[in-house]
Amino acid sequence: MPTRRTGCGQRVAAVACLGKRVGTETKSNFIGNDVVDDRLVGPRIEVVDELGSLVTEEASVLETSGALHAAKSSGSRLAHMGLRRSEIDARLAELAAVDARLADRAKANAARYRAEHGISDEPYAFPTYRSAEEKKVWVHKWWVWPLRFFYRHLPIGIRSRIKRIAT
Amino acid sequence: MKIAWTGGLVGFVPEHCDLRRGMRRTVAKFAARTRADFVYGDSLHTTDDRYEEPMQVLRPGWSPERLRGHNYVGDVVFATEEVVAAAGGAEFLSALSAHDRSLRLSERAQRHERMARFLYVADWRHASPGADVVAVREHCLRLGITGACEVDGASAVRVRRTLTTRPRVAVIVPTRGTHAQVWGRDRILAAGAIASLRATSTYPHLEFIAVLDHDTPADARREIEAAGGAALTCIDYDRPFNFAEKVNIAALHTDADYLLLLNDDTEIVSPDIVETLLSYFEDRDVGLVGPTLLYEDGTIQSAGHFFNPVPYDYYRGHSADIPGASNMLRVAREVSSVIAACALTPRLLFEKVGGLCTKFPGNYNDIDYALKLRMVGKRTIWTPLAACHHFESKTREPVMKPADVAELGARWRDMLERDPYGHPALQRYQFVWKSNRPGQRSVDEAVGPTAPIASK
Repeated sequence: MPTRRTGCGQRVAAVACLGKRVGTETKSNFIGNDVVDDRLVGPRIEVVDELGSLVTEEASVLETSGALHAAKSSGSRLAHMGLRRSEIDARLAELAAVDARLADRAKANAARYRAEHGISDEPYAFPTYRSAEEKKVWVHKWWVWPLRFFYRHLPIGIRSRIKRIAT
Repeated sequence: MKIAWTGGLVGFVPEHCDLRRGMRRTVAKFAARTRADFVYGDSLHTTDDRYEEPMQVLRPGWSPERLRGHNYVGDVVFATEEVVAAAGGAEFLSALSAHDRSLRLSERAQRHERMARFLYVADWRHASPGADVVAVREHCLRLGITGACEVDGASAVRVRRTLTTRPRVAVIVPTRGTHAQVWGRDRILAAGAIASLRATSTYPHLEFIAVLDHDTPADARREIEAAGGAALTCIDYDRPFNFAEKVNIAALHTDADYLLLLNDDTEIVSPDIVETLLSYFEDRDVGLVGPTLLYEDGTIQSAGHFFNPVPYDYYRGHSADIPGASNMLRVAREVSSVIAACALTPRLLFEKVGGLCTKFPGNYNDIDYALKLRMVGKRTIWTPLAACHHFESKTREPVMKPADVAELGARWRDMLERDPYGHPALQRYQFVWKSNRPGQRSVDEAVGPTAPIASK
């Protein structure tokens, strides 16, 4: 099984907000290769060349946070993948573009559905069951009371049939 | 067994079932209109009380995963003559159990359709779907599904698939280092989620990516890092809250084969949760799998989403022991979406559909993702074979942002209003699968959506 945990001690950059910088005080890092992996047998050490790929422009002071065998976090995967901050933003934009293409298709389908069902273009809101609400109101009008009284005093067989027909 | 022939279709009607009047012609018309070669429908079940209205069994749309669990399509099915001939002929099929027959016919059919009409009447004893474990075993053999078939009670078969590969899984945990009381103890939620997965999971090839908000407290960060150990990568995130973007960024930082989206307020229950979720991807057309989510007190938080007509979690707040309508909580089945609080998806597929949509910073990004997957021909599966606690507050007021809802509707209105795994005759605005009878309409239904889910 390939393992990529090398614990190169590289800070993983904040990938969003290009204008902002990531303070070094937020995290202390581990420097050196991670040789402890309690979940995997036979950890492998990888030498990662491109250590600076995702580091923010601001120089970071990398500190060890204890013994070398107790890695806190590892940015090795990022470094290994060779992703730069600008590349991440570009790939995020790619994802957004794919999403937009699918959304366009979905919106076209939804528009076709609206046209088929004569639904207006106004912004969607979760529907309420107006018909049931109106039925309840109607059933409880005072002028229905005699009918309801009459219905309730019918033999159960007739009531059952009326209900079945109504259903 | 009665065999009904109509318009190129063969109907299998067991002795205990009566086809309703006019249904042969209706089914033939329906099949011709939809070009279906396998048709099933709803049923009515009479009780011993002659004054009582018959029970209604409404069936969801085509759900092959569920059919493996039990014969949810009912005892009466129709298939084209070609499909029947390919499956062994009417005489051979009529001698089989209903479950076996449905499985064999469905394997040969190309287009399976549910007709939302009452097709037949039977006794109440036949209202629950039956299950035939031998038939399921043979079905799995025929389809090349490797795994164990277990009988769950007398009503369902649980198919535990065997993993044939051991791909790498990246667990993505977006967090801001929140701490909360869980089972009476205060803890950093993300650290607890990661630690529980590392300690409990039997799957070896896991890596963790925590996406930390810039305002994550230093002590929380330290605890998260300690919980993840060498397997953890931390990514700082300093934009305004956007769950979808955090997940997307994490996904770009791994080359693992699968992504396990895991909220920080979770804790796994099943040690084999990763293996179980992964096993469904042996089917190439599966795009997203989610487990049962449980509240802190063990009640159900979600057994998959359904759109009724707004998105709801099945059986939210109900006991995890209940079987659900027609034993639906006993078997794995297709759903419209699952909560991204714990869900597994292939990384390449995630990228292919553009990841989670950042226009849904908090709610509905999981629904949008699942529907995008459906658009590219992938299924979403919910499974009862794995469980995970989700410590979402039950008392939290769900926040429905009109802009999110408008965007969701602009994209998916047709799918929201026509959930294939729902039914047009269900009682709406309910968490449960319940038929809509005029005499049983509840106040909830009348007043509309009072608490549709806010899925984060």
